[in-house]
Parts: sequence; C-alpha cells; structure tokens
Amino acid sequence: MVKQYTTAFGKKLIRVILLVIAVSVVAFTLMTCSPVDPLQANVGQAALGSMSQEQIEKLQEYWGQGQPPVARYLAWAKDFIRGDMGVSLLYRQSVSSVIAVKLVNSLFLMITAWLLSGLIGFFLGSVAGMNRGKLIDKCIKGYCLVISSTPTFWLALLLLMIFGVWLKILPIGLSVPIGVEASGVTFLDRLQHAILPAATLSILGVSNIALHTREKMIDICESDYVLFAKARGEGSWQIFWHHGFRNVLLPAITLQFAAISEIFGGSVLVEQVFSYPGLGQAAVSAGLGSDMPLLMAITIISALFVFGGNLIANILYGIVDPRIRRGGVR
Amino acid sequence: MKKKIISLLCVCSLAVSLLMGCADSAGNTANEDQNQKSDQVGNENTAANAEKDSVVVTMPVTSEPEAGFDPAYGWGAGEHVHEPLIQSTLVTTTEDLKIENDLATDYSVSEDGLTWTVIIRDDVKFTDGEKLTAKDVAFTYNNCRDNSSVNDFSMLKEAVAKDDTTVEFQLTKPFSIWPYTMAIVGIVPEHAYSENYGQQPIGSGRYIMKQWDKGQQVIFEANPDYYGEAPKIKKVTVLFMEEDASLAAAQAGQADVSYTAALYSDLKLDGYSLTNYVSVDNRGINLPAAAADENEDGLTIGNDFTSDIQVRKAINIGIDREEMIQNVLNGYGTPAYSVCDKLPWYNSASEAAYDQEEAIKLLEDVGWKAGGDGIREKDGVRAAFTLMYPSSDSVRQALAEDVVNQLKELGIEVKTEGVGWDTAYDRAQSESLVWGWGAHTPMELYNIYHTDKDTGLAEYSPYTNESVDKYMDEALASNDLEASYELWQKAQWDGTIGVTQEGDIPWIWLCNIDHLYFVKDGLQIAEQKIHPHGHGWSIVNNVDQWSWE
Amino acid sequence: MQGTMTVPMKSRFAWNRRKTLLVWLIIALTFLLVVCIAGMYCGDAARATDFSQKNIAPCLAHPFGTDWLGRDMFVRTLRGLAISILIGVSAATFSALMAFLLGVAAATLGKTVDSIITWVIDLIMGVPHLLLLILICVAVGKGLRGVIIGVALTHWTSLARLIRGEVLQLRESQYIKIARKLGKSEWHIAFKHMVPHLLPQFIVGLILLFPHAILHESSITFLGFGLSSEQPAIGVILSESMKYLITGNWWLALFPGIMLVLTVAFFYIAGENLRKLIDPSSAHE
Repeated sequence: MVKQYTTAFGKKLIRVILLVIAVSVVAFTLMTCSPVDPLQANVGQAALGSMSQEQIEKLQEYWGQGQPPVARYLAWAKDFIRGDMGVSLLYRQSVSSVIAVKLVNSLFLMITAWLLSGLIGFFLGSVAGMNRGKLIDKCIKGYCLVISSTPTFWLALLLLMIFGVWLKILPIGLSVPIGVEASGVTFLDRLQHAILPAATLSILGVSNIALHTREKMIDICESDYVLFAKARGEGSWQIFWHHGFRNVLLPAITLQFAAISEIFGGSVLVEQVFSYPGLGQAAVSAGLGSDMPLLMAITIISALFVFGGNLIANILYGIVDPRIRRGGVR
Repeated sequence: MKKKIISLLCVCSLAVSLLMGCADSAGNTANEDQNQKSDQVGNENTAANAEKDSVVVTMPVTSEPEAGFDPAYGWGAGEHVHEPLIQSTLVTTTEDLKIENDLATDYSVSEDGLTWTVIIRDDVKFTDGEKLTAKDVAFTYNNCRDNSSVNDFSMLKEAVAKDDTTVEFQLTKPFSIWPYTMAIVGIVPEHAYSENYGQQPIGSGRYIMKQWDKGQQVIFEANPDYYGEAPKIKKVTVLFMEEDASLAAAQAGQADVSYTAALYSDLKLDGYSLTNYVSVDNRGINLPAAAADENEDGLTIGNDFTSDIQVRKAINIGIDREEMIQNVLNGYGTPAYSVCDKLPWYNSASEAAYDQEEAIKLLEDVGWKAGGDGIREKDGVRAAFTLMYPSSDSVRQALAEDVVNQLKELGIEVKTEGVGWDTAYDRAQSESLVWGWGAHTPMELYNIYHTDKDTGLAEYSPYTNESVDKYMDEALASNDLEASYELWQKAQWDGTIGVTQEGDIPWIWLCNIDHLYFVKDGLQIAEQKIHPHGHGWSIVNNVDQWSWE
Repeated sequence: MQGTMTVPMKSRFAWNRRKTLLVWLIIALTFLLVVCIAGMYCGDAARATDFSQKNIAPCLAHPFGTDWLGRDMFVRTLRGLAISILIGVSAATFSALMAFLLGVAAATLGKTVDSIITWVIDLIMGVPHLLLLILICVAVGKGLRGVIIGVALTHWTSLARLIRGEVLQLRESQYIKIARKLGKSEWHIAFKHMVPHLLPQFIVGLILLFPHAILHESSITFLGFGLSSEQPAIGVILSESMKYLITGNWWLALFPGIMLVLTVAFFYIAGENLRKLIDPSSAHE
C-alpha cells in the first residue's frame, strides 16, 4: 500500500513540475509579446528627452530588447533552476531579495485571511445548513450573495474610509509605522497595519466556503443516519459534532486549499488600496514596468503555491478519509 | 479518527505560529517592553523635534531611488535633478541658478571648449575615513559615462585625474553648460564602489544614509566630519507615500513637511500651514507645426489643423491662463509662456496677453469660418484636434479638460484622451499632448526646439527653424556660460524670428505649478531655489539649513 | 360520494415559489437593461466638465454628487456601468462559447485531446486569476483590447470542466447508446440529443459568468491595466475616488460601488433563478 501511495504521489509531483515549467513558458511568451516599450514605461519623459541615441541603445540592451526570445528564456531557466532568480530590472537588486521581503509581508496577510475566512465560512455554512429555511439561514445566504458581488477593492476602500479616515483608529497604509527604525517595529505594529487588509480579504473569502459547506451540511442532514440520530434524541449540537463535522470537514478543507488562488488575487487588490508592500503590489509594478525577471519569479511562486495547495488537499483527502485509503489511492 | 484531526490541527497551528515567528524575526524581533516604545513612536518623533534638530519629510513614491543612492542610476542626476545629500558635487547652483563652487576651488575651460580643468579641495574625507582625491572624481564621471541608465553622458570622452587635486574632463564636443552637469553628479569613492553601492552608499556630503526601508522610508543623519558648514538639522527622515497618505501623515502630526497638491489646498490642518513654492515645473502642449504626412515607418507626422500658424497664434492668446490656474490649481500656479520662465536664459518677449477677441479675429482673417455646430472649418479641414494626457496624472487631465472648455469658445473642438507613455511619444508627432518640463539647464530648449539631424524635425513635435538652431548651437559651443545666456534668449526671439507668439509658436506653455507643502508650525525652511520639474527631493536641497523656532 | 374528504384545490393563480423566482428574474433583467440602455445615451454628458460645479455633495440636481472636474457622478456611474456590462457580457459570451467547444471536444474526441485540454485547464487554473489577467493585458498592450481578451481567455475553464463532465455522463446514458446502436451519425446525436440537454445548463453557466467577468474587468481597470482615464469605466471611477477619500468626498466611492454591487448581484440572481426555473431539482432550498 505504501508503494501505491508513493507512486501515485510521485506521479502527481511530476505533473506539478511539468505544469510549473509550462506556466513559466507561457508567462515568458506573454511578456515577450508585449508591445510596451520598457524604456518609455520606466525612464521618465523628461529624462528620455535629454538622452542621446547611444544612451538609448545601451538602455535597450539593459532592458533585454534585441535578443532572440528563445535564447533569453533558456538563459533565464538555467539560472532559475540553480536558484538564481535574476536581477529585478526595476529595483536593480536580486529578485530573491526583493521577493523575500515582500513574500513575508504577503504571507502574513494571506495566511491570516485564509485561516479566518476558512473558520468563519465553515462556521456560518454549518449554522445555515443545520437551520435550513429559518431566518438565520436566509440572512447568511443573503450576506453571501452581497459579499460575492462586492469587488475586493471597493470593500477595501470602504474599510479604509470608515476606519482610517473617519474613525482614525487604524493606520491608513504601509506595513510599518511611519518614521520608525526597523528595530523599533514590533509584532503588534505589524499586526495593527495588517488588520484592515486581512479583514477585507477574510470577509470576502467567506462566501464561497460558506455556501458549499451549507450544501454539504444539508445533504448530511437529510441522510438516514442523521434521521436515526434525531430519532434517538440527539441534540443538534451533538448531531453536528458526531456526524456533521467530520463529513463536512473534508470537502471544506479541499475547497479552502483551492481558494488559495482567489486569496492571492484578492491580495493584489487589497495591497494596492492599502499601499501594503507585498507580492501583489510587486506584481502590479512589474507588470506595468515590464520587469520580466520579477514578474516571472512571482508567477512561478504563486503557481507553486496553488499547485502545492491542491497537492496538500489531495493528500489530506487520503489521510482524513480512511475509506479512500483502504479503497486504494485514487 | 479523532486523534488524527487533533494532531492535524496541532500541526497546522504549529506551522502557522512558525511562519508568524519568521515574519516577526525577518522584520527584526523586538521584545515585549518595546511594545511601549512603538506607542510612543509618534510622540518620540515630536519629542525629537522638541530637541529641534530633526525633521520628517514626505515625498511621492516615485521619488524613491529604487536603484539605490547611486549617481549613475539616477540619484541626483536623474530625471528630477537635485542635490545628492549623501555625496558632494564639484559645484552647486545658487538660488538664482548661477554656479558656485563646492568641492571645486576653481575651474576653467579651454579655448576650443573641449577640455574642462577643475581643481578640488584637499581636505575632504569620505565618511569611512579615506581621503577624497581627483581619482575618485575621475572614477565617478567615467563610471557615469559607462553605466548611467537615466542620464546622458555621451558628451564626456574621458575624465582624467592629473594629480590628487586636479581633474581634466575631455569632452567630445563643446558643451558650455557642463557646469550644470557638474552640479548634480555626486562623487563616489573609487575604493568602496561596487554594484551594491546604491544600497550602502558612502559619500562625503552633508548627510550619511543611516537606514533604508525599501518602499517606505529612508533615514539620514548629519555627517559629523563634513568639510563645510555643519548641518543644523541632524536627522532627516524621508517617507515615500502617495498624496493621500502624505496628507494623513500630516493630519496625524507624524510628518513635519508633507507634500500635497492643489486639490487638498482648501483643507485646514491644526498646527500646519500651507506653503507654496514657485517652480519652473511647467505644463504645456505641443502643436505639430508640419502638415500631415506619413514617414517611412508608417507613422503619421504633422497635423493639418495645427500646422496653420494663425491657428497656433490664436490658441496661444485664446487661453486664459489665470482662469485655468484658478480652476485647476486653486490659484497655486503662475502662467507660463516658455519652458524656462524665470530662469536666467528666459526671454521675456515670450509673454503674450490673453485676448479672446483677437484670437477669434486671427482665425476669421485666414478663413476659418464657423459651421453649423459652432465649430470652424476651412477648405474641408475641421477645426478639431485630439489633446492627450498621461492617464496617471489628474492635474494634466484637468488642464486638458479646461483647454477643451476654453477652446470651444473659439470654435475649436478638442477631444481629450488618456494615454500611457508607451504610445504617447509616437502619437505626439501628430496630435497634442500635455507635457511637463522644467529643469535647471538650458538643454531643455535644445531638446524641444532643435532640429534632429536624422529626421529634419524636432524630436518631440514636428518643427524646424534654421535660425533658432543656429543660435542654440552657438550657445552650446560658447565657452563663457554667462554670455551664452544671451544666445539662448536670441534663440527664443531675436527680434524677427523665434518660437514666441510673434514667431512660430510651435509649443503652447500653460502654467507653472507651485509646489505645495503642509509645514508644521515652528519649522523654518530655508529659502528655496526655484523648483524644477518633480515634487520630491528639491525641497530638501538645503535641509541642512533649516531650523526650528 | 359522501363522507369523502375533499382537499381544497389551490387556485391556479396562487402565489408559489416559482412565481417569486420569476418576479426576481424579471426585476433583475429590467434593471440591467435600463442601466445598459440609459448608459449608452450618456456618453457626452458623462464627460462634460464644469469647473464651477466642483466637488458638490449629493443633492437634488446631482443625486450622486459631482467630482473634482465638475462632472455629474450619476451620469458617469450609469455610463460606466453600461461600459462594464457590455465588456463583461461580450467577453464572457466569447469565453462561454470557447468553453462549450472545448468541453465537448474534450469529451468526444478521444483520450489524447481530452488529456491535453484537461492539462491546459489545470495550467490556467494554476496561475492566480488576477495575475494571469495582468500578464495577458501586458502581452496584448493595455487598454480595452487587453481587458476583453484577458477576460475572455481566462473564464472558460470551470464551465468547460462542467460541460466536459456532463457530456461524459451523457455518453454513457441509455438513450444515447441506443441512438448510436440505431445507426444515427455522431452529428445527429450531438445536435438532436446532447445540445438540447446541455443548452439550459450552458445558458445558466453563461449568465453566471457575467458577474465574474464584470468584477474582474473592474478590478483590472482599477489596477491601471484597462481603459484609460477619460472613459468613465467603474474601475476608473473607483480608483480615482481613492485620492479624494481623505478630502471627505465620500460620495465618489460609495455610490458607484453600490451600483456595481447591485449590478453584479442582479446578474447572480438572474442566473440562479433561471437555473431553478429550468431545472427545479436543483432548487436545493
């Protein structure tokens, strides 16, 4: 059985690697097709205005124009595999150092939002499912509808307006307090600056998982064994804990891991509104400024996260549900 | 099954706390008692201000030198010129933009204008203790020539250190305004220069870079061994933030000097006053001065409507600049009639009074008659053109919209369009664009009006005039900077030919935007030179001379 | 007969859940149509500036207030919504057609085609949606074209998976197998049996794509990759309003946002209700 498990796992891993390579090829092709001239996008108008032709040619070489795309891709791939992610053209430092800082900021935000939205969504979905048709169910469904129709950035704007501008109880941006030296920044400060962005992301991530959990819960509540449990006189909390919880946990977890992609997309918007220096903001600047190495690295890392999440979800499926294990690995 | 879930949850929470721990340590861990410190940080800054020798200044996000504090990559000598606080320069510009010595004790130029010789002081040390010699100067300039990605050093052939205190600059062509370049290139130490110099710069200037939190702030401390006058302000914190965040910082009392824009000028902040600095940061529109044609790459050059010189003259006097400044800038601006108003090489003949009736007469006289919808036409050409503006700039957008409203009264239809810089340059060859210029060098006149020898027309908007070219070439070749000013003025208008209202008027200059700041009460900002294009570092050019009351 | 209990017949015109669904569907569609049509005629009014009317809070003359250039926000919002709806609908329709073709192709053209298409779907779903949109917009050059192509190329994946699953199931069903045994050609089977079965689900899926497309379009425009700023697209309006939040011009962000939420919500309601009407068994109330 262990052998079956490992071969299946191995196959999945190879698939992930192939997909990541494909992602990098696609991202690279898209960037090279871009008609945007990085010179005009990055060198300011007045500076370009005072340059000579030789200067312009030197700059073009720097920004990677004039070499055949395939050669550039292979060169980049070779370096990337060895761990050298290249040098960011915009920030003029190694991509790894740029990403290291921003990744930590983003992770802080995304993990908080991911956990919160998962927990709250699960809770809301279960409550709605168990109390189907009642007022609380209707409220939760209506709330989910409104939430999924709300654009992420608008909710971020609203929260910024209410808490940052009107009530002035939370900071309006950045990830550390103004003017403080790095050694003076505490965990509490970081937390304070991350509250609004994390809250936005969490609120929005709730609807998907809540609705699905609700569906599953309703299915379970209509099943025979729950009927039998009710007949036996089990209270609703006991029904939930003994029967509902475990059965609904699995789909919920799978869904939550699949939601990593959505959280990343949301974080791009939220970071823009709150000027939070994370990966999302870096991706937008890299996109607007045609910074190929940085954008490629961010794409690959996010793809890794998404695929990794799916892989973990698959593995968890096997762990949590003994039927799957015994029935052979899917 | 239960055990599995419990152990799973334990693992998850462990992982999460590990990651959070990493996040914390990556940001430099602090222990519990520093929680107190953070609460007092806001107070700490103001408390430090009570010691009266530190300031906190906000700047636009674009002011942050993303490539580092390296002159070769735009620090000081980039798109927005300013004094590089960390390094010293050979000369500096004075308040009225003449040249005065800094590191240099004397400089001279050869007869043919190709060799500049500079003698520097011998008592300057870098902040790591090493002496600053002519070798460092030569190294700096040669490095800029080879690697500068944002500035043009192609006129420099070679910089040679003749001895410890003499540097010779060999130029490829005569360049009378070389001192203006010398005023913005900070000298870097040859022995401490590497690719990472920009992250850990060592200089001999008034300030040392203490700490740089990328994307957020940079902290400077006064250089105790500075060879000149000791800086009055010992600590300067620069915060990079968007306009609205800058305003919030002022509202929270966390910034001493907070840059702002006209749209916030009506706000009243306790403890702050709105200060405006006159600038040469101008906005203008180009009107293609050639008839429409296609060049060999298929790009349209020229515009059949604006190529009519009467049309351009009418537009120049048909725009009420004062009203525009009132509408768009809330009064915080001055009318602009050239790209260099108030600079030593400005020709006051550029000024033209607003006269709507005269403008209409100019149009009617050559046959632009109003059609049924109020828009003029002549020989099948409609009095209409497109005015583009950079999408990211709301002030330019507002200016464009005001132009639309004003020109409608003349019977000219203007359509606005937001564009990105990737297409703007090409399209400006046949349509109008709202540009922003303004620098402490006459080179701008050259770049805007001089014919480019490859295309036969000026670079940014089609126009050509031999007489104007001649004056500018003479000015550059001159070896007396002061005398060359007169030649630059003649290029603008010499009595019969020029680029002003009486001349060809290929560019219409609208206004100079005042730079606005909220300044905390009690802070005395030293007298400012006229601010060039760019809202960022210009204000702290002389931060060493600021003081608190 | 005596002694029998008669159950009172419910009148044909009594109110039932089906009618509720229908009413909501009609309300939603009416709202959307009105916004679209009104917006189409607002083009010039939405761009007219008047500096004497700057920054006015909501009042009778300007129900949504005016912005810093004196433009009326109500008209601008209508126009912006109309633009967003049109872009969203056209891009999503294109996407849905792609989904249909690829889904059917995957299910019917054999194992290799199926694995290739599934692999491509995994590939596209592997990159976070917004990031992929950014990449495509950059590749095509920003602006209207970039947004439409980007949205069109990224929204077909889940619908394609759905259709593929449905077709696979269908192929195993009894009546299809019988039809095949009876000698009918593949085309005949496809058109006469599969398409009518798939069509309702397809239409519902199509309608449910619209709100997604609209949200993504406004997000991309908000970030700066989409339409240029003189067009009053909702993303543009909201990103510009960010600058003015601090001056207290709250109406610049609130009303356009609420209208956008309403629009998207109505699309969802329309799609869901249509699904429940067509396929009552999915009304998992």
